[in-house]
Amino acid sequence: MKAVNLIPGERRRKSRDVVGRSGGAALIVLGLVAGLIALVVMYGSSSHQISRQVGEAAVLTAKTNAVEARTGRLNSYTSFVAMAEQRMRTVSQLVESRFDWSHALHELGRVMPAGTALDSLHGAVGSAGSQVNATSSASSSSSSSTASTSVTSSTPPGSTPTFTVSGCATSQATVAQTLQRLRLMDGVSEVQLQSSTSSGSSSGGGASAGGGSCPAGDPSFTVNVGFAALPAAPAISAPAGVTPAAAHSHGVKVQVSVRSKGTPR
Amino acid sequence: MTLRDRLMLMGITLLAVLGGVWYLGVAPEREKAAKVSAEVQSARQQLASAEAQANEALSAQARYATAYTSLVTLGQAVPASAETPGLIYMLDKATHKHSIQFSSITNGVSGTSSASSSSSSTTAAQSAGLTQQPFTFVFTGSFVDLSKLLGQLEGFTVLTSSGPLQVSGRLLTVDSVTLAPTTSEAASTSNKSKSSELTGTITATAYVLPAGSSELGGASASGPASGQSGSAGSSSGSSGVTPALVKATTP
Repeated sequence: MKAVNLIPGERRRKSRDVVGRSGGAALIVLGLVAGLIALVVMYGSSSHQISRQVGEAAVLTAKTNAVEARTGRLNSYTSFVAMAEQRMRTVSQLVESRFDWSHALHELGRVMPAGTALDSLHGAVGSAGSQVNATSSASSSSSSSTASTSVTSSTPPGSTPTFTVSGCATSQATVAQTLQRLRLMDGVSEVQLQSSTSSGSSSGGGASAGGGSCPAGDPSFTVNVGFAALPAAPAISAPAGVTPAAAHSHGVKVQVSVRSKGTPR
Repeated sequence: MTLRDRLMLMGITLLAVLGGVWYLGVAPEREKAAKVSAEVQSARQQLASAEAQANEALSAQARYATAYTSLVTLGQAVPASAETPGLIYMLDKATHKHSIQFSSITNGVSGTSSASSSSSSTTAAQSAGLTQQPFTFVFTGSFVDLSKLLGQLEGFTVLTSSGPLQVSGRLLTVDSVTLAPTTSEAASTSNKSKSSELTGTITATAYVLPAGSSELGGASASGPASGQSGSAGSSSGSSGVTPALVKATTP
């Protein structure tokens, strides 16, 4: 069967007109020109951007150099202020990590019951985590050396202060009361009786506590008191400064005195 | 060759020409533009960083007077040298406020107690840029007075609740305290044969700046030394301290 073109003849001629007599070459040339124009515009835009940004980079570099030069002239100030702040931080941390001995002694005087008298007291700041030990003098000796050789402060955070208190009491019941009362001291974590010996007893333990100086029949006792570990100094961020003290604002008012010999309060 | 074939061939040629122009001319230029843009971005960041440093430096310059005053005051708490005479004077003055006799001071740690003798090894120990300087003081007085004295010793350098340090003397850290009845001989010497008299042996640590450091690192009131080092504990400036200059003007 033979194919028949159903498009009228005049119409067929019009479709040929789109291509034209050049056979489509004109369209291609037009497309090429349009494409080239678009590419040239893009190239020009990029070139313009480059030249503009190169200039901007040069200006920024010059500004940076100027600012750095200005900063360089002030470097000595920065170093000095940093040194001052570091030194203040160090001193502040040392101050913060100290044990408040005065307050502890005040507390001791506050809690000691009537009928007791202190004969001697030895307090030391031991190493971190050290516990109250029956042989306190030896332990505090070793612990304090450990603490002070390896850390910043001679009483570093985490150190455990301990008191070894020796004295006389009017009775063993008073010694028991003393142990109870010592637990009321601010910051105390542990109270341990080392010995409580009546001077009339055969063991002669009084000599160890008070050299046998207690009145006849009165027990002499030795108690170890352990305090909570010293807190870590808080991070001090650039203290505002140091003020010379006009007068001492420090100091705890001691209300109760403790007699060194067996006079009841 | 049909018309359609010719059109297709010309279209492909057109695309090839445009693609060649793109790859050879436009794409490298755009790449270069992107690089320059990144460089500009980097330069902006450098400038911002430099400006931040400059602001910091300006702020440091503004705080210089405060820092200088602080360091001068801290020199009382932590001097550059041992300053033992000053310490003795300070302790003696402190005892005058109470009925306490300042019996002795020992540089290092005396062997009076086992706890204190062991810590003599701390002499050379350095802490946070400061050198420890152990002392043993012996005082005689009542329990209350000795307790107050301890507060006073630690109160020479305190941290106030508002923040700044308050310095009125040497920074001391009390390591151990031993209170014992005063022997009759000592009591008679002091003409105070009270039964309440105690001998307080206090082992304390004072602090000094490391050897070779000066309190102010060569700075003066008018400005820091030109070669000011940034180290906190060991300012390696000259040991000489230029006296502060104060200018008074009348309106």
